[in-house]
Amino acid sequence: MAATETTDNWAGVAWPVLAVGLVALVHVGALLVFQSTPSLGSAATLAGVVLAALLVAIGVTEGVDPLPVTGVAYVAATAATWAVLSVGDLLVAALAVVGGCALLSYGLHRYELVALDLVEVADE
Amino acid sequence: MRVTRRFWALTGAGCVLALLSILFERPLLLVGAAGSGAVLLAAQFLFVRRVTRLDRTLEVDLSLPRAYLTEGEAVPVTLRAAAADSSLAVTVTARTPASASGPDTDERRVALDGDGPASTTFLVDWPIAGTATFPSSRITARDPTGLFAETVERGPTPSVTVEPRTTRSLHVGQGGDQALATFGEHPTGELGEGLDPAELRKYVSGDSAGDIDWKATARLNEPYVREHEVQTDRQTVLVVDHRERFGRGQPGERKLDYLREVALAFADRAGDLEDPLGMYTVGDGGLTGEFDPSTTAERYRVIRDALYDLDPTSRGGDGGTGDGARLGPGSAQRANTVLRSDESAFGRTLRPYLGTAEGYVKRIERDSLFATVETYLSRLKGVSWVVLFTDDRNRTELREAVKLARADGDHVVVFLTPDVLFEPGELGDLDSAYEQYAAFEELRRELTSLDRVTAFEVGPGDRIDAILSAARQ
Repeated sequence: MAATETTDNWAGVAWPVLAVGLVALVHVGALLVFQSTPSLGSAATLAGVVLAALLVAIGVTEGVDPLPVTGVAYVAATAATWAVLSVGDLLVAALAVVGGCALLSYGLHRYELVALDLVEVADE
Repeated sequence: MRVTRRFWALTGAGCVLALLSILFERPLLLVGAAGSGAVLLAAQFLFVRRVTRLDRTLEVDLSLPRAYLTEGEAVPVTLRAAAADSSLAVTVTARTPASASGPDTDERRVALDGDGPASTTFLVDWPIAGTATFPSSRITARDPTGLFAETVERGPTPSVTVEPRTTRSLHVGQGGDQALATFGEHPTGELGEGLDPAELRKYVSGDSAGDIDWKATARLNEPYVREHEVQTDRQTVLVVDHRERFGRGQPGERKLDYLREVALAFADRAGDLEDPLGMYTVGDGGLTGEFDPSTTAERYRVIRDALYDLDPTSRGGDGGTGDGARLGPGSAQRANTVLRSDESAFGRTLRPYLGTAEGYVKRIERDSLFATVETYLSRLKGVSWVVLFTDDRNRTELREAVKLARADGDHVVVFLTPDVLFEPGELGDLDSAYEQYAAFEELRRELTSLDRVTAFEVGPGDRIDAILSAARQ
């Protein structure tokens, strides 16, 4: 079936696994390059490099379909994180990132329930 | 939406990055956590978009050859599904009603792999009569990345009516003629105080002034009273024989099935008229059900349920095959008289066995139908309509049971299933069958000739027609 063919699509790894692994590795590796908090320009350059690598990896393994959504999401997430970091401390920014992702994910879940007419009366 | 362990593993990786960023005070790790979250949100968004598109384009059809089925029948059910090409792994699984019995899930499932419509056909058994509705088919969509899955229920919900196996052509009649109206309202035949006007008669001393029909009195110029038909409740007692031999015949067309139809009609009628209704059921070992007469709605329901639940019992040693050759008391007395003057070795040997009628009555008592009638009907108070449902296999027992049932002034209606009509397979020798049917008819007439007794034949009408048609030719 299609799922079997595409779930393990590159060396046995699906594209989200590949992308998350790539992002995590690049940022952990960047700690060796940037001993302290990088400047905005350096951070933007790093984000651009990661995004390019991400899009190439996804484009090669999955095709062009996920590229626009993933690109926009990545840019928006890194930009919002830097924005929060610039006005608040690290703990607040971490809570904002985790909470924001959780909220958006739950919002997508609820949107899907409504779109598929799966909302129970008790849920309303 | 369901998420998989893979999703939670990737979420955990992002959370670890966020945690490390706080522990080591390195904002760069938090940016990596945000990037990981962005990737997961993008994957989730793509899944939601694909699923909603699938839902818009999905077409599921579940079709049956017909909506009216017979109990125990197996019918093919076809599941067809189609949807726009999608990268999701989609399966459509048909579900069956709880009262039906279908194959394993694998045989009821189709996979939509983008190559056009998919279909499968599977057999569904319907062992239970009633109305059933198919639930919607279950659609399962899985994300190709292995992070998300969703299950929805879509498609038609066809209903089917499963009808119980019934007798193919129920015949209730006498001598091959259908009885058009065997039962109905039951006036007492007496006149007096009632509701339905019957006739006018002249006023006599002692009549109540309230009974005077003033219009008739004015018209006829002398006092007249109007009589009314007196109606009463009729206590009806069903005695249903369901011994092993009543399982003879094809499924749904056994002796018991035909008798059950008539007994149910009696039970319904008694319920409509609010007559006291009781029932005794007789198996090979003796009484199997005892329902004393009552007019409660619960009693009518319980009796109907009991009739539906009746099945032939297994033989309990009260004899059966060959019992028809037994002699009645009158025949035994005649044989005894003849043997008294018979001095041959044959006569001397048999004489002790026919010496007293008492021994014969004890032998009859061992027959469960006779024993039931004797034990339970005799203790009923008041006049009853006793309705016997049995066959002509054990004729001596039948005669004695009928005579006993009418003993207390009760009216007896006997419904008999002629043994010859329930031969397995097709009727082979029609001449022989006609002879057996004629013997049955003789028995039925003999019973009907008894005071307050009416006997009817019950069986497949087409077989009776075949036997009688062959006899006419």
